[in-house]
Amino acid sequence: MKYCLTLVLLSLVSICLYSCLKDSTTKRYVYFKPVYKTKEEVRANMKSGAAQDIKSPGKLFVRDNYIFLNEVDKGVHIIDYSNPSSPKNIAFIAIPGNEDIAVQGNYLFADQYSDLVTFDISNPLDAKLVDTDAGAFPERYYSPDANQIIVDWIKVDTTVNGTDNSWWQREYIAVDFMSAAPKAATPAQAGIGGSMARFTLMNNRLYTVDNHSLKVFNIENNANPSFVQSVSAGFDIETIYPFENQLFIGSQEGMYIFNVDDPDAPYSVGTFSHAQACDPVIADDSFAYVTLRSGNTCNNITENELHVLDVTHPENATLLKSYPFTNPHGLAKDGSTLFICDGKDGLKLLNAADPLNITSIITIGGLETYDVIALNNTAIVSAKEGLYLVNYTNPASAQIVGKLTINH
Amino acid sequence: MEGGILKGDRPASSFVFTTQGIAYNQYTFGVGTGFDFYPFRSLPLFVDVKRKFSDKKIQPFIQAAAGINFTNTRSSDAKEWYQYAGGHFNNGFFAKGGCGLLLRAQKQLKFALSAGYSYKTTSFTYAPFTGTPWAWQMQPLKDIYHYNRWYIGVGILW
Repeated sequence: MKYCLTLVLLSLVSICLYSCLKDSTTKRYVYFKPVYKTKEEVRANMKSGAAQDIKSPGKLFVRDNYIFLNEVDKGVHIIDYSNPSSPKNIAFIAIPGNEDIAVQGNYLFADQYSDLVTFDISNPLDAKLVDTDAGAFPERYYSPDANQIIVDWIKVDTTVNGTDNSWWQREYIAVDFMSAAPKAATPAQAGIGGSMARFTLMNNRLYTVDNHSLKVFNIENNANPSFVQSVSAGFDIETIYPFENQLFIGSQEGMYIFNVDDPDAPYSVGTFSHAQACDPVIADDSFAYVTLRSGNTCNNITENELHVLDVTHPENATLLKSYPFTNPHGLAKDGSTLFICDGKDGLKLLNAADPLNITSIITIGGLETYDVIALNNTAIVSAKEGLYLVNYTNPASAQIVGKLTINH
Repeated sequence: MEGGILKGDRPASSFVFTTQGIAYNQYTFGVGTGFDFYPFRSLPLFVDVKRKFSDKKIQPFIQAAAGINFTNTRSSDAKEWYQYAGGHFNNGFFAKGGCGLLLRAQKQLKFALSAGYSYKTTSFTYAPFTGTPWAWQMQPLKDIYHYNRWYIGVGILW
């Protein structure tokens, strides 16, 4: 009996003392300490230099036989793929703070934090900075000193012990995925950007998007872009894609369509809303293709889908059909062949001759794909493992013909 | 077979463990596993030692166990975390210690009442940061959760 009493007492003590027990969390962080240089020092070095390893690839742009690949926050790799089976990383242009690029003719336009910078790339091995528009992107203002530029970051590890707050505080990491590539209605001289790009070119204008606005730059004189205006475009904007006289803007809330009959005065002609998700978009004559995916920065959807929209009447864009995917990212379309970067499932080629009955042609697996540009029977695919070149002359037997390895 | 209630910072949860072992004198050595529903839900795999202090009908005992805490990444709380944070869970450590009473019902059948302290850890490794940093921006790398709970359990031994 006394043992029973002992146990009962023990239980009561346990219950009474439970509040003495606290859960705790050990959090390991890294923080980024900026390294500054003066603008003069930085700009003196903004020119073609020796090729560098690809470590953190960002947006893609293609012109002629060259791939311009953004190295996030560092600059632009220039890759010669005149022989797709043997692409060559030939030069690197250092542009601290660079995230987005566009190429028209012999000029490369890039953001450098809050500035728009223009390079003459008539000789890619000897690219030269020819123009700077300071403060073109004020939302990317970053430095406490206008004369200094962050050129690098020192990562510092730190550990914090605290109480467990996982019930109410959910942190996430902003992940900047790469840009994809479409077949677009840009002028002949313009390069090809991607379905996840934030810079695009049309009718001698450079259009850029930030979180909520669409900016217009006149680039009739390529060497000297001039800011025209900024138009309120929506919320949580991520991507921009040109087709004919329209701009398709992807946001986490939906897709916005802007008419650019007057290149300097884009205006909204239609909107299609969907569940909050990451959603690059491309379009052709009558249809828009939107991939929705879940993930780090893509809020709370669980759907991973391709949406096909009828945009014959942009003011009344309607969803025609949804197709399930694993984790679709960038996409591209060449003729009736649709290319979907389906995350870890690889690159999927689909027959989209009938958008209401899209069927699989082939899947190229073994690579974690983010983005694709389909151009002249060669698909340029950015993936976790590297930059791949896929020949799709016959889509049913598409295969990888070349690769540049990424050194993470 | 043992089940019971866990109580720490968070709302009370439950556990169900099964242990298989051998008896040697007053000791029992076993290997156990089961479900620990205290978030993040997990499946501990542990070695367990009991020491009893009597052979009478009511036998007081003490026990200790330690092992690996396998986080259940398919549980709703873990899935929710994945959805927002990206990254992956890692397995952690599990331990418990306590005392109790064995109540002999038949020759090969006993009931157990026990209480004590239970500890488990799990950790979450965030997806690598690949975006544009801001000055002094803190980016999480890894969270290690330490869960301290009291438990009360009942069991059946045969």
